[in-house]
Amino acid sequence: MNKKRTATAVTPESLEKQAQEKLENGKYKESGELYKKLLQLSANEQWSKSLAYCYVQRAGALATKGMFKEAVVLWDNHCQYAQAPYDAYDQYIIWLILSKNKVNIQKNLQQLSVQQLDKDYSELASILGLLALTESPEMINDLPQESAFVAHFHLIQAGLQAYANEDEVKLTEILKQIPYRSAFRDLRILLQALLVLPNSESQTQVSLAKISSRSAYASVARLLEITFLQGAALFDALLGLNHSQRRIICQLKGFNKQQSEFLEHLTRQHEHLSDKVKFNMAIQYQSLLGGGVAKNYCQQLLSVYSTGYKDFKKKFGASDEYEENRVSALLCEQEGNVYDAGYHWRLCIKALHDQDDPENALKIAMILRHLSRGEEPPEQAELLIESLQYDAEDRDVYLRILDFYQQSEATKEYKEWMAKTLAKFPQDIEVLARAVREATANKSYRKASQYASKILKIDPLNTFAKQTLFTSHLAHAHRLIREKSYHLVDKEIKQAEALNIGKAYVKQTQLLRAFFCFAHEDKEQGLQLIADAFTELYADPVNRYFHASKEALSMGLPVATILRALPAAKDHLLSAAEFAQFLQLLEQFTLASESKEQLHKALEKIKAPLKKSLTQQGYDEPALLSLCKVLEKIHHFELLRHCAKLAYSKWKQPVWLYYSIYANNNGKPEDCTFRELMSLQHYHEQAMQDKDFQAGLLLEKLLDRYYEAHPQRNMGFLENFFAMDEDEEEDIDPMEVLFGHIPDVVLMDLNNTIESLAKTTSVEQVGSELAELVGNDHNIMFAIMKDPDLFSALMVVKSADQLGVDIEVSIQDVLDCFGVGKKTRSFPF
Amino acid sequence: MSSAYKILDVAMTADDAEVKQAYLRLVKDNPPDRDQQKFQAIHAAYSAIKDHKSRISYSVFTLPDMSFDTLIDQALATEQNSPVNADVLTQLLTASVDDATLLKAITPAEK
Repeated sequence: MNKKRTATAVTPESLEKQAQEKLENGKYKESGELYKKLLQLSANEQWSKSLAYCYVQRAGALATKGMFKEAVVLWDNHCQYAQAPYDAYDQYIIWLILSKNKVNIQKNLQQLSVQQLDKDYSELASILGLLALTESPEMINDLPQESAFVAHFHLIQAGLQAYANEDEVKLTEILKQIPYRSAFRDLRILLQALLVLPNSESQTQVSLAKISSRSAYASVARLLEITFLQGAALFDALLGLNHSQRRIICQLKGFNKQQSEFLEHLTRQHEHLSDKVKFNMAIQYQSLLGGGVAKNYCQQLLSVYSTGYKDFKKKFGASDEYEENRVSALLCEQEGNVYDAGYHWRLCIKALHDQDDPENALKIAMILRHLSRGEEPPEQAELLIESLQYDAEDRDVYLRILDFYQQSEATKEYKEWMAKTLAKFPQDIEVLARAVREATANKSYRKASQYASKILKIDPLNTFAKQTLFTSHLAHAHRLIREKSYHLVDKEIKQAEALNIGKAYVKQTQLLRAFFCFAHEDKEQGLQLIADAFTELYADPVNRYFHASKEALSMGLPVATILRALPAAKDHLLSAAEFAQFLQLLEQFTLASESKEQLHKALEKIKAPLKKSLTQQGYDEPALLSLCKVLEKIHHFELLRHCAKLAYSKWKQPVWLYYSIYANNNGKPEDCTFRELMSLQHYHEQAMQDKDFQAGLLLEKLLDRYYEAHPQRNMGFLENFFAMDEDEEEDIDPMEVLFGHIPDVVLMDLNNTIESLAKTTSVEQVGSELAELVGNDHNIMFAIMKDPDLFSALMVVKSADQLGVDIEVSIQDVLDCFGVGKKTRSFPF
Repeated sequence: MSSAYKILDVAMTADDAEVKQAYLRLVKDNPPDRDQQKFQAIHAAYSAIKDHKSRISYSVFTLPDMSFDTLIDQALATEQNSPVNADVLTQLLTASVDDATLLKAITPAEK
């Protein structure tokens, strides 16, 4: 087949362009070929240079692949197209050395000029120096004898001789003569490093680090650095060395025969270090490792390499039960397997019991405390108490036990343990502070003062104790004024002042002095002092009113008279900061006050501006929540209702529903309406779903109290019905009358259906369906809302209908039984 | 993870004073502004074994260092290196001469 060829004119310009492109792209071989063609066309200096450049580049590439002979040939080719001084001549000499081309090495070394050796090719000079000192001492004769290189070589030789003779002074003197720009500069650093080695290993390391990683002496510096390594790090470094290097290092480390064998064994196996290999090596080199280390290692390995158990027993006898279980327990914990970990810890305790070691009791105590962390509170406390049998000195354990009893509100046990703790640690400030807090919470101010005084004896600057004593003195002064024992008041105030605990406290004593003056000395002056003191304490009239009322009430002074001395508060709106101050004051009074009644009376004086502020000022949710918490504590349901209603309308959160319903029923959840009950259940579920556990727990508390008061009204509908046998002697229950004849199995089905209805149907829907069933009779609906039993009974009938089960009870029967079925109607089921 | 004893470079039998001394020495050599992580490791190690009770707790609740490296450390432990004399230096210099060293020393550094 004839191909039609199109003749393409190949011009020197296009060839040159191609050659240039290839060269720029690093395709030196192809570029070189093109330049050769071009040079066949005509001589051109630039083309020759480019071809020479291509040869040098190719030579370098081959040398990096270890093809030194080929590199040499290409470099020689480059010389045909280039003029001296030639490119990469220093590299060329190294390639000659590496290709062991002795004749050419000698020829080229002889051609090296002083300028080249001392200045132009410093790296080559450095290598030649190293070679002349080691494997090619004859090389020095081929180099220009008048060069600084040769002079420095002789100096270094003398230096090495001095080093061999341990003549440090001479060596130091010689090294000083080696200049920075010498080919032997790095060897000088190396020798200086060796000079300081006997005194400071770290100083030697610092010196060695000065040698560049590209230096001809970098390798020897690295070898010396390796000698400073130990153990596994040393082994890792040795893996990167050749045999002769490894041999020298081992010799320097002073390894004995067994260590060398171990090292050799390890070098062979290091890529296949299975648990089995490790276990066997530990056994094989037992004498090198020391029996204890080998045994411990194998013992630990048994938890992951159980196959070795037999060998272990043969070599070391029975394993240590405690250690074996301890490791297993910790490994189980690491995997999150708390159950098995607990089992192994128990075995550890048993093993420790069986061993005779004075430290074992402490270990057992620690394990019991460790176990307690994963347990529920009652078991936690039991374990902690048990641990004290083994170590009774751990104060934190006592405090944790106290925490438990405090949280579980076990007052008797708490008091018992508080007494034990105080007896055990009578001088411990934390324990005493806890006793102070406990006594304060129980309004036992005298006890609190006693403990606080003890703290001050130990730590005279303890602020907490001072504050407690201060509060105690003030409370006592209040009582003295109330009891009109005026002659002792001044002493109490002075004692409080003597505690000297800050400006805020000074204001409190000033205030008390003002009230004292009013009560005992001069009414007019007293009123003025009271007004002045409150002006200093508060910027707003509401807080002044509230505080003044509370103080007056607690001292049995006329509230109205005192309030008249203060500016009116009724129209004031509290700013957010003033409201926060009020909250703080209210919390403080709640904590300290013995009488809720006094607080209620004081609040009464500011109720109007407070309500107005709550409605108009838009405080944030946390502030209102804090207020509700206090109001709940002091049972001020009116304000609580107001606050909760506002907050609920704004935020619709479960916690606000809780406070609304709690306040609406004046703190008696048993009075909840059916609708409220349904809302409580709904919001309880929502809170738990939203992981709002705080609100969830509050709602649950309310529901529990409701069910406690109305056990039969539990939304588990029939649960209580099943349990009725126990209360047979009680009043006749309508549920029993209506459904007593139904077999348990059927009742269970009904119960399940009702529960699923409750889950899938909204409260409103259930209500409207029941309303339809009872003919939308308002009286009946009202009765249903009031009586959860009636609701439950109707739900049973409804679910029986839904299941298609004939239970022989109609809606009318239910209504009749509950006495609300006046109207006779036929219902759909 | 290295054991607290290893970090502080003290024996398992070290007492309170020895542990504290080792801790102070290490903290002096490794202040927090130089290497925060190392400082924290040293501090954590000290907290773990600073007194008798901590050491007992450490012995009960710390998983033993089951790394094989510990075993290698033990097997290759030596008291002190032999001195580097002129002979050894010559051996080291000779052993350091290989193709890679020569090539590396002459190849221009990559920018």
